[in-house]
Amino acid sequence: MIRRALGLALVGLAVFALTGCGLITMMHDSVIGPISPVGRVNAVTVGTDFRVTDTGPVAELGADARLRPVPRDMIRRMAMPSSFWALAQGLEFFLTSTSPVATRETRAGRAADVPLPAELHPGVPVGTALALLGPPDVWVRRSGGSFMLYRGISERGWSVYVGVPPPVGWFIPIPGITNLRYSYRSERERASKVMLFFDEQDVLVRVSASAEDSGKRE
Amino acid sequence: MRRAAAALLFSLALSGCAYQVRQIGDDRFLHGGFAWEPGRTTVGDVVDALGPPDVIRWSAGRLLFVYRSERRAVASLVLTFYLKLFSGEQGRQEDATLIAAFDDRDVLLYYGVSEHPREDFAGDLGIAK
Repeated sequence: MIRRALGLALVGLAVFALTGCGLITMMHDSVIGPISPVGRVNAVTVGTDFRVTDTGPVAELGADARLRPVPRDMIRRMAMPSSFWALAQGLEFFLTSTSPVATRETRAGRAADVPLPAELHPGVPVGTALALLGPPDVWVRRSGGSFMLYRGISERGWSVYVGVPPPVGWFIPIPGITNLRYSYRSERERASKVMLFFDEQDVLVRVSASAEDSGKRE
Repeated sequence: MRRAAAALLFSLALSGCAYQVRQIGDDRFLHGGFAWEPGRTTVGDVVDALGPPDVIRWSAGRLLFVYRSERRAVASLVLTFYLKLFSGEQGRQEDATLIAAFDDRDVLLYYGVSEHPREDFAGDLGIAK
């Protein structure tokens, strides 16, 4: 009975030592955190607003206690749909980090390459425009008429590695092998904008659309 | 043999280097020599020249169109030997804005645009036109 209790206590201690404020984590962060290839583990494991960016997982430690064993939003991080999205982003980050050439695209709102509906021509009432394009981002009413602004954002990027990417280098037992690399990453965020002008009777008089040109400086 | 040596030298010369370029928005307004005249130019003329704006602000008697763009280039060198032995980063960022103000009749009142970036910005960071 005593042995079992001691065993459970040891397991508990081992689990605690491996948590976000555990001995191993704190020693790592204190001793080699600034120069460690994985960065500071404590802030990522127990901080809030956990997310995965192009450069890896990040979280905000902020005013949270460093000695917190688990993050304040652990339930959200583990059970909410956003956690699965973060997991997918983490997988994407790993795959793009190990691929010699990788491309990625993110889109929000109306796509730049989607043509405007053919029914959207001068003379149609405002209700038709709303039915075709949905609610605008901005709708400004003026004394002589009104106009609507629709915006969509698309982000494209590509990267190329020559040499040994860092995640791959971790599995090669040659010291300093990850130095043999060169990486180039280019990102471009485009905005697809549509502006509709209406007269005093809320009849469409003009459509102006622009999709910013891309890649001209890349 | 020479090719292998050249490849090795090339790899060593580029060791640990990373280069990142990020561009947001359209910076046409920095290069355009548009001849807008306050009191004559209208909203339609501005939209014809630059397309719809990124941001619209309005209040009684004023309508503001805002166009924005951003460019950022970062070059870094990281050398590791189990740990990061050396880490250096050099970068520049350019934020450009154009603001055009209109009156109640959608006629241009005034406008302002950021200065064109210095030529060396494009030159030394490899984002030239």
